[in-house]
Amino acid sequence: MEKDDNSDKVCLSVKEKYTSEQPEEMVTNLKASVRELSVKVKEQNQRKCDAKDKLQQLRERISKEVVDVSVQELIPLLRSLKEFVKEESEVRSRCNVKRSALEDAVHDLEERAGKGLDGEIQEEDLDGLLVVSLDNLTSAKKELGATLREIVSLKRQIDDVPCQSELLQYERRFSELNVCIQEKLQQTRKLYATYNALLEIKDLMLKETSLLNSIGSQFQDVIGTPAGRVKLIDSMEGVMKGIQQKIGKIQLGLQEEQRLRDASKEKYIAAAAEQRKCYTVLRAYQEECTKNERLRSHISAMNEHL
Amino acid sequence: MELEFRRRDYGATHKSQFLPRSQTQKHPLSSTLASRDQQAKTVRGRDLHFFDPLRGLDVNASAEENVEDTCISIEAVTQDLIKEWKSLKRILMQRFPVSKLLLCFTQSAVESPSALSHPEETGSEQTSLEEPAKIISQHEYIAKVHELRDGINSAWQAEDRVTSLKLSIKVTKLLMDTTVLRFYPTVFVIVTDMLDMLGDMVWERIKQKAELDIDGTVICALPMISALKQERLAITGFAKLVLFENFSLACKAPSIIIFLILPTFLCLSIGLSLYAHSYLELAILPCWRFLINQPMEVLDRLVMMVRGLADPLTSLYCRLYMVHRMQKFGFCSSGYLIKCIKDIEDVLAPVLVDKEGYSYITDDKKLLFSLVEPAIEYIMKCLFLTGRQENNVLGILEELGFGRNKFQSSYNSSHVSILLHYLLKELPSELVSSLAMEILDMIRCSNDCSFSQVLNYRLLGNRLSEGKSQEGFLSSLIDEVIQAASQYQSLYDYLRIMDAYVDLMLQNKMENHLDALLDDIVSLARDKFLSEEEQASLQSIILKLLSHFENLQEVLPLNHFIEILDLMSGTSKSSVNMHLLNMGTRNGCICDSTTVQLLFEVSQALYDATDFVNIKDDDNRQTSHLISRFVEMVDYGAEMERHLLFLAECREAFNGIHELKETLVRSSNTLAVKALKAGKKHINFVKSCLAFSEVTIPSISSPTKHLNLYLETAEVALLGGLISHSDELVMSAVEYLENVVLTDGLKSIDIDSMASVICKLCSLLVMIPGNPEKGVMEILKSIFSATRSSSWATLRVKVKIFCAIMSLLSTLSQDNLPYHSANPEIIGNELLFFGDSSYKQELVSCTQLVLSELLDAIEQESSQISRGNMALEACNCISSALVMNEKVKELCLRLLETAKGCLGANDRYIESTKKSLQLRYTE
Repeated sequence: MEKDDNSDKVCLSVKEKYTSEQPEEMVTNLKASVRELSVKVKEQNQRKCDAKDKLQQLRERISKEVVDVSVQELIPLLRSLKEFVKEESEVRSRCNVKRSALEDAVHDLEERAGKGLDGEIQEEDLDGLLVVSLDNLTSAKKELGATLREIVSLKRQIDDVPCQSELLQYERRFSELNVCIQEKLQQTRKLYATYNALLEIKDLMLKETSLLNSIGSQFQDVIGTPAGRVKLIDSMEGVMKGIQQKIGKIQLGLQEEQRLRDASKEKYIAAAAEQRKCYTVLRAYQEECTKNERLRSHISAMNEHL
Repeated sequence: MELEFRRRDYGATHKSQFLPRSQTQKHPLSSTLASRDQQAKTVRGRDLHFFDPLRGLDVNASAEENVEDTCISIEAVTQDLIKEWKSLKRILMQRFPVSKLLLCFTQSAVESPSALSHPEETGSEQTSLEEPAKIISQHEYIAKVHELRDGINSAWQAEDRVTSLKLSIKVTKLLMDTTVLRFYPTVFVIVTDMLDMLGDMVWERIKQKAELDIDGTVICALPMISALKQERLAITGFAKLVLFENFSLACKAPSIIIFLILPTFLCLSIGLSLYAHSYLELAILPCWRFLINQPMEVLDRLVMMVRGLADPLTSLYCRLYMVHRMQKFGFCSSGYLIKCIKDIEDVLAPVLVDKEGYSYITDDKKLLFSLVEPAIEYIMKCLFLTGRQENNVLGILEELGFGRNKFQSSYNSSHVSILLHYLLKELPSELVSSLAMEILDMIRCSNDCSFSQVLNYRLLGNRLSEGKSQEGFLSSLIDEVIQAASQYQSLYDYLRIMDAYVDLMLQNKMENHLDALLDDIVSLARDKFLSEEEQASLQSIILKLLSHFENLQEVLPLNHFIEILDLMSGTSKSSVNMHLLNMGTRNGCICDSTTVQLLFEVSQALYDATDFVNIKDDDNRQTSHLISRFVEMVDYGAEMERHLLFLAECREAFNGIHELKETLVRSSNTLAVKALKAGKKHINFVKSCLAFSEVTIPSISSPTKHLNLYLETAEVALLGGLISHSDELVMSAVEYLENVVLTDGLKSIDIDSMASVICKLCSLLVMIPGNPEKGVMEILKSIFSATRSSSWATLRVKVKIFCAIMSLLSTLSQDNLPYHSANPEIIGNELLFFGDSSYKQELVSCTQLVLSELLDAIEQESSQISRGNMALEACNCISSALVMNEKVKELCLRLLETAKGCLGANDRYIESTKKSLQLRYTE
């Protein structure tokens, strides 16, 4: 791990130097980095020698001590040795690759220094990199936007499907509106009934008026003769019978209405009594709930105490 | 060239507008407090410096006030008596008004003055006897009496004393006629005015004779002081000496006219009836001070004379007049008043009890007692005024039969109810409290037909309630009252009595008695419908209960309280229900489910009792407000679904109240926000709340409230991450906007409010993500088309809305929006449509449409000033929203020219607009 960290640091430092300094200085820096890499290779070799020495000591120790104990100690050491060998080969190959890349970079810089085109080349490269980065960013944002539009569209489709509780609200409102319509209808019917009743009263009053006018106009002529008097009495009796029949019919209607009224009154009284009972029961239930909570809290306190 | 949107950096703008902060060395409030302390110290020093003179002034002022109070108390009694007499006459005239009915009177009683000029008296009497009875109206009767009175005055002015006296006798005889009982008080008022006039005239004449000689020379001017002070001086002896010295001087005159004035009047009245004689002598009562040393002897004789009057009505009113004359000239004392009251009791005794010993009420008796009540009340009032002046109230009570020992009271504790009533009415509060048990015993024993015993019990309770300090007897007293009230077996009587004692029970925390009261009410009212009077009494009791308790929770546990509420109906129940609602909603949230249920039922009863369909909103505004407030105050806590169900029930039950709809929607939105704060698991509940609001808003009639609630609900939906719901709500608002029709009820204030709401909607659209399927600018285009085609929007409002749309389009074109929704799930348009060229093109095309309509609206405006202001407003909007290319510059210049033409070149608004345009040019 330490080797990897060191190599990353070397790369970062190389990039920084590459962007900020001139080509000649960059060549110098590259050479310095090559030296650093050589030093690291030496260190790795030194570590390899140390491992070998340690192995030799272990072998000598094995010859002296018991075989079983030595074998148990030897196995993990052998494994670590193999790992170290693998790491050495990997580090070596990585260093070679970096070394060749850096040598190529140094070679390019030397060629550029020889040509004498330092400023133009740098600006073009920087602009190119910037344009590439911006293009990448723009394309990424566009892709993100498209994805987000899809997500929002799906979310809209999901939300458009009403849930059960929503439908209940709509259903309830429809029923309420229906009740309002029915109430309006009842009111309209009531008004029509009132109008019809008033119209009937008007007709009866007109009949009464015409009858009285007729009697008033003919009374003097009729009362003078015995035949006229008899005729008048018969007519009045006929009118009386008609009125009696009319009153009978109206009385029947009145009795029916009174019966309905009494039934409604009884229903109201029963409903009121039921309401009082419900209120009493609800109050008792609430008191019992309060008592239950108190007892539960008491029990929990007792349990905690125990 | 195409239009381009101007780039804006909202962060930089915010930073530039941010006010700089500087740290202060001291806290502002602490420095203010320090300065205040210094000021207080200075003021205290000044107060200490001026304290003694103010105290001195206070002492002097209080001393002067004491002196003034003493003077006022002396004059106040006299003035009070005069006012009482005037008010008594007014009460008599109002209580027993003159009716238009024809009445039967003998015309001879009201003969004209010319008839008395007949030479022979016998002949005139025979003539009057022969004439038949004629029917005349009360108005004619009164007119003739006034004619006689004028005749008396004119005869006196013509120095025809005999004629004046005869006419006075005629008028006085009218008081003997009790044919029409209801008319008697009116006759009494008129005749007593005449008698007072006669007495004043005689007094002035005798005084004139004593002061002047035959030749008109002033012998000695009597001091012009009030009658009360004359009495005071007479008692001390000084005035007596002065008066009799004057008389001695007058006796030296050759004429004996002085000695003939009073005897002449008396001799002429010898042949008259006792009644007329009594009244005439009462009229000239003060004149006796000129002849005898002890005027009280005359009073004793007059009291004996009045006892001879047999008719109770005439007897009582004669005593009333006697008390009045005594009071007027300071001869009155409590002794004579006590005698009058005892005599009244004796006169009423035969009326109360029949020959067979039964006491029952009849119509005639009822009328008689109603006629007699004002007289008794006045006499009692005079008695206690005199008693307070003499500091002898207890003595008066003993004389009248109060305060006796138990042995004596057991034999003679019965009193006439009507006298007891007015006695109790005039007693001081402290005496009522101290003698309460004795008074209660007397009320129980006094049960006759003169006055209702129920009202006496009630009066006792009211008087006890007036008292400040209470004693231990109250519990036993109320026990006895409850027993007495229960014996009536009538709910109306029971309620009337106990209504007066409810305050006493509540103030003294007598829970047991209160429970007994409620039990009795329920038992008496079982299986019957209450009358209007019973409803009114029950309402009074219930309202007293509600006024006493602070919380509704204290009222509900009372026994049978709910049952009693069910007994009530009509306006009484509505009044009680309103008090219940007011009481339940004034102490914060209503959390108890039982209380909620009860108040819901109360609200429903109140709603059913009110006609919301036919009556205008102004008439039932209080009811609407109470019910709306109740719904607003209900809080179910964590049971949010139960709360939403409650709101739905309220919407169904009170669908006629317009104010409530708004409350319901706001409560639903509050519930939704509460659920969002609780967590994601309540998302379905949030949808339910939004659905509730969505279906309730269309029933709201006010356009401004309608739109505001749609916006509020859309904001809640956006907060919950429900994009589809917010879109639907906003579109519903826009559709409603399209359907608004200009009517007479739509005022200019409403139009401005709607414009403000639309601008607010534009601000909200910054956060709402566009829908690419239906069109990114669908909502915005709908708003634009609705505004363009609306009939209610004026040109000024249209310009305002179009400018708001322009600002919105400019904002949406930016790479970074100024604000986002609080919910991170809601993604702004700057991310959704990044790099989308069609989005940009659509913004530009909408801008072009709005711009053309904006310019057209400005050109259509007829008012010059409005057009100029509109042009400048549009110019500022365009310059801030768009890049200043050639086309935009041309537009701005044209708008500036329009503004200059309308407002003038020197307008400040134009100058500031020019400066801002120059800044835009340099960018």
